[in-house]
Amino acid sequence: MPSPAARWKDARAASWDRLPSAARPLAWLILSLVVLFIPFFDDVWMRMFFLVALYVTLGIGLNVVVGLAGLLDLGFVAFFALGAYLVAIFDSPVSPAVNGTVNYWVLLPAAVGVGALFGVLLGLPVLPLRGDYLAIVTLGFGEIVRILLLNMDNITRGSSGLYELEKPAVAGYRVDAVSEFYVMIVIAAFVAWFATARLRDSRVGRAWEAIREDEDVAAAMGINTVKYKLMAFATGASIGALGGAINAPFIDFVAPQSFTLQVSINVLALVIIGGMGSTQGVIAGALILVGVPEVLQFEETANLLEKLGWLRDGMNTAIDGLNGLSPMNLAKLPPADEWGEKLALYRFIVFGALLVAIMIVRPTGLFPSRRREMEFAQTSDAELPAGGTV
Amino acid sequence: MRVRGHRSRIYLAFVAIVAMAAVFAAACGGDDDDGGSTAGFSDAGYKTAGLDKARVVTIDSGAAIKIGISSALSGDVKGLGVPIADSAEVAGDGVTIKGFKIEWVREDDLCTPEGGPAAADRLIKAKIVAAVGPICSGGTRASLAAFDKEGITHISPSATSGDLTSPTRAEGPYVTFFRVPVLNADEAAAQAKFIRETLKLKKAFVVNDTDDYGKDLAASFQTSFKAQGGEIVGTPEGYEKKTTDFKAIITKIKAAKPDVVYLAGFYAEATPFLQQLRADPDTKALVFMGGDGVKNDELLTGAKDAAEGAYLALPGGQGSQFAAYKSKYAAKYKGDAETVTFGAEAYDAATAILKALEKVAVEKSGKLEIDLKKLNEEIKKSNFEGASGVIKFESNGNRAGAIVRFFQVKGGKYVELPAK
Amino acid sequence: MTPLFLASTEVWLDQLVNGLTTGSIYALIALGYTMVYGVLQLINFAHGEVFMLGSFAGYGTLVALGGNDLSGGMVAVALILAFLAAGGASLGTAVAVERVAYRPLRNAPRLAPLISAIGVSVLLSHLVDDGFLNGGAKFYPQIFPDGDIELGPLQVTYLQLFLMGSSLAMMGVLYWIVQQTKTGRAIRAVAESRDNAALMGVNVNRTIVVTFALGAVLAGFAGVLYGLFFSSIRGSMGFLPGVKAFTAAVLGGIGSIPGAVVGGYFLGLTETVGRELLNEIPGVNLPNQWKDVIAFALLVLVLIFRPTGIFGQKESKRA
Repeated sequence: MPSPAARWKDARAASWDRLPSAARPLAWLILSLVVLFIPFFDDVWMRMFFLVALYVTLGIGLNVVVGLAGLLDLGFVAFFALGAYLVAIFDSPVSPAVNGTVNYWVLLPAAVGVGALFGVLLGLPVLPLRGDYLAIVTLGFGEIVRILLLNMDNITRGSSGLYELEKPAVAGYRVDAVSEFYVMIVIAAFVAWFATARLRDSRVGRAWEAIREDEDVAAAMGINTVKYKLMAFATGASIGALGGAINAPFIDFVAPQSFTLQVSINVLALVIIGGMGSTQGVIAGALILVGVPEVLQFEETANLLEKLGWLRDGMNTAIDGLNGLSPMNLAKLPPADEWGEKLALYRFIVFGALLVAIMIVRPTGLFPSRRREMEFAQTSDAELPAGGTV
Repeated sequence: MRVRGHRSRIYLAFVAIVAMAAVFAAACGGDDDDGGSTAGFSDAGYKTAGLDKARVVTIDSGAAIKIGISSALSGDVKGLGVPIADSAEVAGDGVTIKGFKIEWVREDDLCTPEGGPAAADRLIKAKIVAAVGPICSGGTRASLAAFDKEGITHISPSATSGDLTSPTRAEGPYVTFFRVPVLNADEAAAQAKFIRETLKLKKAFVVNDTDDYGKDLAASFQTSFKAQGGEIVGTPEGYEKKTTDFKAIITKIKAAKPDVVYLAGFYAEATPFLQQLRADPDTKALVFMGGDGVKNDELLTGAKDAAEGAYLALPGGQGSQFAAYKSKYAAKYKGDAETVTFGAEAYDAATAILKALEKVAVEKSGKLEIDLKKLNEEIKKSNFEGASGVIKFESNGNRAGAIVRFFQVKGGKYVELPAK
Repeated sequence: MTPLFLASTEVWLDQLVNGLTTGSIYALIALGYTMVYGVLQLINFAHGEVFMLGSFAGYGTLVALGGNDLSGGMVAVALILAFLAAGGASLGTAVAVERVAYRPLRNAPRLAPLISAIGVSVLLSHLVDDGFLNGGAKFYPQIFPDGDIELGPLQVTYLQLFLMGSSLAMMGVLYWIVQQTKTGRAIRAVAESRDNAALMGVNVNRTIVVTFALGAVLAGFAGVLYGLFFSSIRGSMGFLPGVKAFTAAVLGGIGSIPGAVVGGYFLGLTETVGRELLNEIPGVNLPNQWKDVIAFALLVLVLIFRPTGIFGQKESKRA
């Protein structure tokens, strides 16, 4: 019989092993680096980092539903909205339904709980559905939530929105600056990541993956598929609500027009582009899909492009040459300072093209989880997609 | 006696509690009063903006004075936002302040609550001294604090929601925020009056866009119309932006048999609405009234015959500077300023900033010093005739004096109706 | 005597006609979804944009031929040319999209083509909105002859008649192609089993392209009808009809051609007549903006109680 100390060591080692290697010190290292670098960036950059970290949090939540349990959810925005509205309804002075305010630190866990509850409520009716049916029902659910928020004037004030929210306070200090909210969302992202990483490597996570691979086989192996699917929905939904609850006092204007299908699509796209089931993937996806379009609007980008003026001059000379050879009359490139503006203007076109390009070059995403990548490598030759009746 | 004394104390305590509750309720009730508050700028408000004392910005010799423009430069509202930004910019054509050039910095606020503060931050980072914008109410509300924190005065040419100048914070309205447009409530009141007194019609059917602007305008109209003895028939019907199918709404209009259809929304939806309304024999000749969001040249080119006879309200007058604005706009952007919604307002907002700069900028050994506090005070004292009439501000930053003009579409053109 | 219903007969009949016209457009678009899903098990998210580009091609043709100045017999000629241009543009788009964005992903994980489809959808709608229209809208020339037929309380305009009639005709042609021609047999074979069809000598790639093309032509026609009827077109116009049409396809049972048609009409009627029915309940007075809630709530209900849709077979339950 092992000594108590050894047993403790074993137990500790076991729990540590379940995390990605050296995760905990690494996590603290990253967190402290992130916080330490804040003074070097101004509000414009911090706002972009906040947005990226927010989408990382949302991505981690959706990753549980889509990446781990294999349930295609196109209505994730509903939970994001739910979290934001829960905080706004109780903390906005213009809220028609509630007088006075409730402490933010009470509302934050409440949002997580209510998110989980609604995740289960949505999950229950759609459980029998699979694949694309699930996608369209969740899409419909997201739209229903948005239209309800838009039309329930006596609670949400419709499109007029809820604003001037009570800011969260820590020991009497009001969280107000962009960088402070950034710290909050980074902590939330870590909590979400830690929780889902633990779940993924536990019995629950294995059950999810079994369901994702083949639901019938999973059920035959004695996995309670109903229970685990609901758990996946609830986990994802509560993380979505967490993101919404932190975003609400930050943007300080909670209105239905912020909660469109575009948000669901963005989150889904970053999860899939990054590589389903992996956290590095979510971070990479968020940087590309959320960060890049923002950076394109920054003056630093415009300045950088201006420095590349020689490149444009060279190309214009070449264009002149071509125009001399034939009557093509190619347009010359615009002055460099307009490039950033043009790129920013066409960022959605770039976004769409990027989605297609990444899927074609790396259909498993940029950083697929190792387990998924192995599965893909095994099945891609042997198991050609079957026809319609299968 | 002792018992009575005890009772009276209970009674007193009771009265005190009731009184406190009443005060509390009154204080809370005040919040619900949208736009009704007329509180002006307060000293505390100047303090949050850091404008309770001098706040000097220095511009190096040879550098330009930067003025920001926060507008929708991409996305769905680009059609409104880009001409507004252009209109603001032409106000500075050929203008120099004490030999220093003006540089306009444009940022895209997308007309969204997320875009507003992000654009404000980018403008502040670019070291602007004042700004025109944002152009939408939602984006403006979200960026009030961002501009205020830096003491940057900004003038919106087009944010019309009532409560932007009466926020719930204890410090009162943001002292750094001014606006040029006529408020929705004033426009709706004028429209109600026009229908009742000029057109002499009684029964109105209300259709509105579910966005902030359409909802606010429709609600104000219903209140004013009823107050003027009119009747709202049927249930007001809403539609979301980009809706094209209005057939179901027209069916409801036919059933309610109104004298006039009132639409609070934008031309992009009003165009198909009018076409579908006129395609139905029962509603072919029904009187139509729209607001400033509808009066746009796109309506004439898009709806063609269906627009004939439509009545449209346009808040804001035409001041003596309109001709100057029109010729500058035509020269630089090859467009007709008459067709730019809120263009004159943007021109005036920019002019107000330029006039104030001229007064407060001080040249010191080749450099230019601008005190943001004095700039803010000068803007508040604005009093000049611009492109949209006389520009003066009330004590809370709203524009003083509301003019609403009326137009009717005749022969494919907007014809201004004589004021009564 | 109290009337049985609060709304008058005119309102009911009017909403019926409204529902049938919108339903016709949903049905035409839904056919494209259902056929592509049948052969590829792919939600062609870009189908709404195929519809949008068709509508713009029709618009361009009508404007080039004289726009609002067209009259008399020229209108009929212009309309035929507009339909041809729209069908052609949609066909070209769909085939190109299939080649560039879907075919390379045919053996990829299941969600990859879906994301690629979403990418194409975002790309095309913003290309039109940001690249060409500057966020504005275009308006179809109003050239269709005015006037209507009245039968007692029933009132139908010529345009509504034309819309409903031509959609039915197009759906009939499609049904004939799928059921009676060799190409149609190939499509059905590939939908049954791609491998078996290949073994039987069916050119699978060609058949898939033909499926995309057929669906696209119908979407292009729907685009012109949409423009003529609702007049306003823009880059993002494909999204909502696209989602609704997909809903219609699911309602009818995805993969089933009659299902898509019935689903389209059913959804159109639910949004109009369904809302009136709900408004008959005392205390309920839902304005127009609730119609999408009604549509999506119906979808959820149908899927809970009959997950395979109205005409669905066992197959559609499998992912």
